[in-house]
Amino acid sequence: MKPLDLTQPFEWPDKNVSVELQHEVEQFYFRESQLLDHQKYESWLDLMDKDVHYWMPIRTNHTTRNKSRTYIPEGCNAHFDENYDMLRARVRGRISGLNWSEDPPSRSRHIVNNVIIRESDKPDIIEVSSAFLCYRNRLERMTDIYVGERRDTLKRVSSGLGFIICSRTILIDQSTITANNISQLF
Amino acid sequence: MKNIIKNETEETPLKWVEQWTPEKIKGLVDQDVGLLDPRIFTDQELYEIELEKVFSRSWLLLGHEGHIPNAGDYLTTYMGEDPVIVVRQKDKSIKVFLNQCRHRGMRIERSDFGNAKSFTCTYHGWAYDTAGNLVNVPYEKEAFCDQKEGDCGFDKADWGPLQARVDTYKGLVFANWDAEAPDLLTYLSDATPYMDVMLDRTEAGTEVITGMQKTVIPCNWKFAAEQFCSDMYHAGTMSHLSGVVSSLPPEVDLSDVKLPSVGNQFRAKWGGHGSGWFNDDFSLLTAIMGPKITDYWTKGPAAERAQERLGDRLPAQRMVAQHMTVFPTCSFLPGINTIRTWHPRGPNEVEVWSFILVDADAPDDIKDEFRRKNIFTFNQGGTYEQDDGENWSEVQNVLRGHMARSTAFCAQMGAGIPNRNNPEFPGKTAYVYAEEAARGFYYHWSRMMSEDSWDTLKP
Repeated sequence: MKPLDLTQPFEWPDKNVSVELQHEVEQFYFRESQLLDHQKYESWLDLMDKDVHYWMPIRTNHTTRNKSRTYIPEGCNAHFDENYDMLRARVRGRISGLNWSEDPPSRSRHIVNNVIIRESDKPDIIEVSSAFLCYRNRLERMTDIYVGERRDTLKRVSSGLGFIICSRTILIDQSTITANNISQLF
Repeated sequence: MKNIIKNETEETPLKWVEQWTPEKIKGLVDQDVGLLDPRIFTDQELYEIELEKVFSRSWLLLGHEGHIPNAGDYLTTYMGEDPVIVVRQKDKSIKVFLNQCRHRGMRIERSDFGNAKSFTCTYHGWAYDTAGNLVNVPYEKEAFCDQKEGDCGFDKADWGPLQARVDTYKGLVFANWDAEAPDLLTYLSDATPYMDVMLDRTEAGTEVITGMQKTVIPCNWKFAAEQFCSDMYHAGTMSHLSGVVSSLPPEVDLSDVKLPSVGNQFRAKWGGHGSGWFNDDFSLLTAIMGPKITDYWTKGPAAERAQERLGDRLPAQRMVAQHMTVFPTCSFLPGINTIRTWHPRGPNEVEVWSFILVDADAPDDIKDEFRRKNIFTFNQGGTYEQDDGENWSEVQNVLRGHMARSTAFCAQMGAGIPNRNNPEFPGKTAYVYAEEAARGFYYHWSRMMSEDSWDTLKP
């Protein structure tokens, strides 16, 4: 399989999905954001499929002619490249009371918008692109803003929040990360 | 009258307008008692002196040979705050030159990496070949010469970008601006066996995993460099407990874990380099890298071969969770295999450029495990590294305070305990929770900052 060219925009559906599906997906994301912004990390983990791939590639600077080199591809160094066990381990450390980069907890606000949904040939699987803005303010005045796009594969389930995340690719809009760490999740 | 005013001024010097003399700089670090003046982390003028005396005279890590395998391959990076281009030549040698056009100082290459036949400044179009020779100047004849090119007082050969000295050590590419500085091998002093634990485990050497992570931490570069040089203490005590918790098997609690406390630290006899490690107890490596990497590193054919190669240099198979800094800003963790350069960005900020190395002949699944575990633990979002950024940036904030930066830091661990040398390891060693290497790091820093000539500085 040819690797996905992340410099290309998320492929639009031929026809918009139903208002109801759009509403369901957006509500799912809004609730996911609330979980992250209120440090409900274990509940957030419950939104992940056991085979989830959670990946944030590194972006680099190139002229348009060499645009294809922009993203460091899969299988290379990355900001995140995690499976379910790694996310679970990460959450375990986070709630240990010893994770100083988020303890005292940050005040964060994950804002999700620009949601474009594409249905697949499987009835319970959808592809979604969304924009996120994560504002983090912590301690006295440390402030970071992480912005980017998420490309998700969601699976419809009957329990929980109605969907689980089978894969998430996070396209952070920075080459050099200006925050002192990436202790937020997106 | 003038004299009286002058004398009064001299008697009541304001610390924040300190005029740094070599004597005053030497006084900032007391390596015998173990005291550090916190102004070394905050003072703008000291920082400017660092750029000149440390970063323009030391060998700085720029990358790995694997970043630029083929002729024309290049990488843009920094030496201190100076942007440079690292380019592989047709004869396989490497050139490093200032990424600055000699006309008005614009960068001559603006991409992070690639393959080039030439570099063209996007300001006025001056073009340089991959060796850094100026080869084309638009309207050269019309604008610079009344006669034919090269015969009018303007010679392109005079206007190439500034070239640095380049050398490699077992795959790592270093550069130095100073023609008088000792060669790289001399500069590395007696630290090379400790570097070899990561770089020379196999005849095949190391290869780089594609992708450089670049991040910013609002702290002085020395906090980061010193920690990798000398500070196992933070790992064995408080800083990384959540990282340890993250990596425990689900059925194991932190209370079941006893972090190791037996090990040693190395202080290079010259140059400010340092390292530390635990002996024989693999629990911390397992807690960072998991059992698969720990097994690869400590037993089986690859580990045996490493021991055969390294055994006459040091007992590498006993060393666990090693940390190391080659002065000033090349830091790495053998066994975890993250390596990074701390690019200074003013007294209050550092840019971290990190990448991952693996044994070139390791099985693919081992290479991939190194990759994933590094991303999980020691990249900027990693379960270990993220808490370092918190500590360093908080310390930097505290040092905004006048009293805070007027109060000496304690760097005394092991200073009054002279007989902690472990003869099983080469060079000067101490207990793992010591600050012998830190004192060496800052002592060398103070010498670089205050001594102008290699006649006194040289090993």
